[in-house]
Amino acid sequence: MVREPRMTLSTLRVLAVLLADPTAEHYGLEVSHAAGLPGGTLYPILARLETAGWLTSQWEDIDEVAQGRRRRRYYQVTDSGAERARQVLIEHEQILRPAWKSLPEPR
Amino acid sequence: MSRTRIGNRRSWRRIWTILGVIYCVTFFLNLAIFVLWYGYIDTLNPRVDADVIVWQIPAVPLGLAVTGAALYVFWPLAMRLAGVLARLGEAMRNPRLVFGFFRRVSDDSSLARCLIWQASFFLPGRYRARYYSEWLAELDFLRSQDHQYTRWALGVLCSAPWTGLVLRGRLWSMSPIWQRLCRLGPLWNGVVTGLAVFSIIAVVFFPRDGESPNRRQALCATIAALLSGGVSGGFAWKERKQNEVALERDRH
Repeated sequence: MVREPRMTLSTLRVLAVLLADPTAEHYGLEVSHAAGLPGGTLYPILARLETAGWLTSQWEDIDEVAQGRRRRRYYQVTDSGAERARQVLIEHEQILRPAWKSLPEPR
Repeated sequence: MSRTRIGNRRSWRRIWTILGVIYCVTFFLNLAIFVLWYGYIDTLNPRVDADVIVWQIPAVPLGLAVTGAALYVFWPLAMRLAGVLARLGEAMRNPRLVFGFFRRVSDDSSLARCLIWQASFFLPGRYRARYYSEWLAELDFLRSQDHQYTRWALGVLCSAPWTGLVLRGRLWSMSPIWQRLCRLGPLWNGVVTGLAVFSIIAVVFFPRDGESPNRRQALCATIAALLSGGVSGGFAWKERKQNEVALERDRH
């Protein structure tokens, strides 16, 4: 049985960013900047959410030679993950509201 | 291969890993103190003892190589050792090469790539290539935007053990003991505050010539520590209680 990921302030910030546009695909640095987290902090969180099934990830579909850059890994919230994440954000909103003033409102 | 031999090899790897990590941490701390002391790194500055840097620079790749090689394969250790010895020989002949080393590190992303490569070794084998590619793509993006990529790579390296634990499924949730310790948060808050207050008073007011403090000094410091610890812990407990009440009210 897959257990739910442990909720920390950083995890909640990441969830808030991802839920700002649940249908969009996000890459690591984008989430990191939007959530105001240092780069290193983000990847254990993404790994935890992905292992819990709240996120899926896939490689960007580009021709690396033509684009002149490496393909990125894109993360997207799953339907069940979005639903659960919304519940978690609502549960923690009262306590953590002051900490995420700068974050976008979840849809 | 017998179980004992596998066990021995694992324990040796663990020891090498710990030694390598201690080596790297010590080096970076030492370097940070050095930079803070002199303000900048300039081997042409007569105040700076260039020998310190000359002897320490090879420590970084050596420490990283020991860490990486001890974890999985041993051939990089031999290759890097040879490279480090050659570089050390050059630097010993001409200390100005050290300055060139730092300039090269700041100009290109070789150090950041090295850090990312090392970070990938903390992950389980089947995830290593994926995360290495992902981090390299992020690094390229940071370089193109003129952001501080070396610091970012260092952050990735520092958090890589946690990413590895998550991917191995060993960092799911807090253990019951840890949950209980977290539940006692206000108590820890008070204890730490009390200890901090006692330490500050001891540093400022206690005698420094090796003599013990007199009874009055010790009593005052203890009372101040207990009071501040009690107030701090009390406020922390009260705040948590208010949050819990508010959360409960919202649910209903």
